[in-house]
Amino acid sequence: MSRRIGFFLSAWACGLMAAIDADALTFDRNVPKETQEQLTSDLASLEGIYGATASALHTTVFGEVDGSVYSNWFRSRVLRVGYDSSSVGGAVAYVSPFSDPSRIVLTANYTRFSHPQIARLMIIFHEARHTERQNSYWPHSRCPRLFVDEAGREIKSIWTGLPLAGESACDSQIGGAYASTVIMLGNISLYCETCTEKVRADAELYARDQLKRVINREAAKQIKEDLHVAL
Amino acid sequence: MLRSRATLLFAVILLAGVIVAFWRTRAPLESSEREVSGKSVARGTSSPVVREKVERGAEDPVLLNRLSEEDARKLALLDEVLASKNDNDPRLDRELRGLSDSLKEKLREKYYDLAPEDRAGRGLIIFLLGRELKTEEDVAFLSEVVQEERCLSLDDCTQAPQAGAIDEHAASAGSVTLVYPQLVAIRSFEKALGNPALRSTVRAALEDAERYGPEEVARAAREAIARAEKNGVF
Ligand SMILES: [Zn+2]
Repeated sequence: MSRRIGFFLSAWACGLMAAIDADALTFDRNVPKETQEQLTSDLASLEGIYGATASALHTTVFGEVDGSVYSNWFRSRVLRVGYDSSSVGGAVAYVSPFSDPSRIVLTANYTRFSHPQIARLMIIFHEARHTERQNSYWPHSRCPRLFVDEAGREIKSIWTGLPLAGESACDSQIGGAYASTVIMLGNISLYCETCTEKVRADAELYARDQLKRVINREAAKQIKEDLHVAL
Repeated sequence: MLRSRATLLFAVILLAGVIVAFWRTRAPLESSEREVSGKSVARGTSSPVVREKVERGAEDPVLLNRLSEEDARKLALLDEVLASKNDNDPRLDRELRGLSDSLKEKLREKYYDLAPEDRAGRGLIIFLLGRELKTEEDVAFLSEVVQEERCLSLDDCTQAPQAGAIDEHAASAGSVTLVYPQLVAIRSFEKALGNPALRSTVRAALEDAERYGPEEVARAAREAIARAEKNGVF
């Protein structure tokens, strides 16, 4: 009897794993072919990543620096891909956590804007973090009133030149969507052995920028230490 | 009398012939000069480095961009990577190294041939040129890129979005992408500080970027200088 239960359980687990691995990502009908191909190609490229080392924070959030680990992490959170033909606001992708948390919506900007590949991946992994119901979808914090860089200069929006202070575009938690992608990109930059020099350089560039949005000093300090102040 | 008139008529015809022949040999030269300067204008580059090369290219066979087979193959590969948008293509490291002077020149032109909104494409070219900084001319071109007018929007580099039109949370990647080629150049300068032969030139380029570059680029230059000072590079 118990052997039979064991068989069913393992069959169920295998089925679940297969579903996560292969069938998890389905596209809504209105997602243009070009957008589907770009996302598929970006994820395929990500799957080639491997590094023998991972930082402690990376191990906690993602696991190893390994393409299949990233792929499973993403596909276990994002089950459907929708499309928004609007390109307003500069958004490339978004998740509506309270109505449809396992669906990422790519906007027309996913293919229209010329972001380097690692930036597109950073954006969708950021959004994937917002699918986690058990973590209250990792809400952002408002950027502080005195939002300055290390040299004491005010951090402004590059788009509008207006201060970012007061915008809900910062993180206080070390596991937040900005912070976790800093950890991911920082590790790719430091440890990926199968990445091109360009991917590693780009990962460093974007991680360094996104780290500015981690406003909790202790969290930022921990991330810097975790990445050996590589940023 | 009749004989002298015939002689005069002959002389006039001969002179006219000479003038026509001279005009015909001169005309293509003038039109090719127009083509060269037209090419420069059409590409919309204000690049002194590229423009000077285009002008000199009329005489210098190396600068006529007659690429060797090897260079042409590398250029075709670059086009392939640009089209695929796959930055993890291992051929970037395996094959797109050791750029010849002619190919570097071609890449500088290609940079301006790409639309300013093609931030990733332009950045890739700067990355390839930036990891092989060897001469002052190499540094000069990147320095020129660093001091370009900033791209205002990924939709249209000439049009700033209206206040309130940007979702600062969702558009955060723009803070790098809008100045991506410039930041790649700054990073290349920072790495080149390790080369004693180029150190002072590159340091001057970083200081210029801090002084004359757009705000975000100036910030990156300042941070690169600070890191170098902290690491005892200077
Ligand atoms: Zn977010």
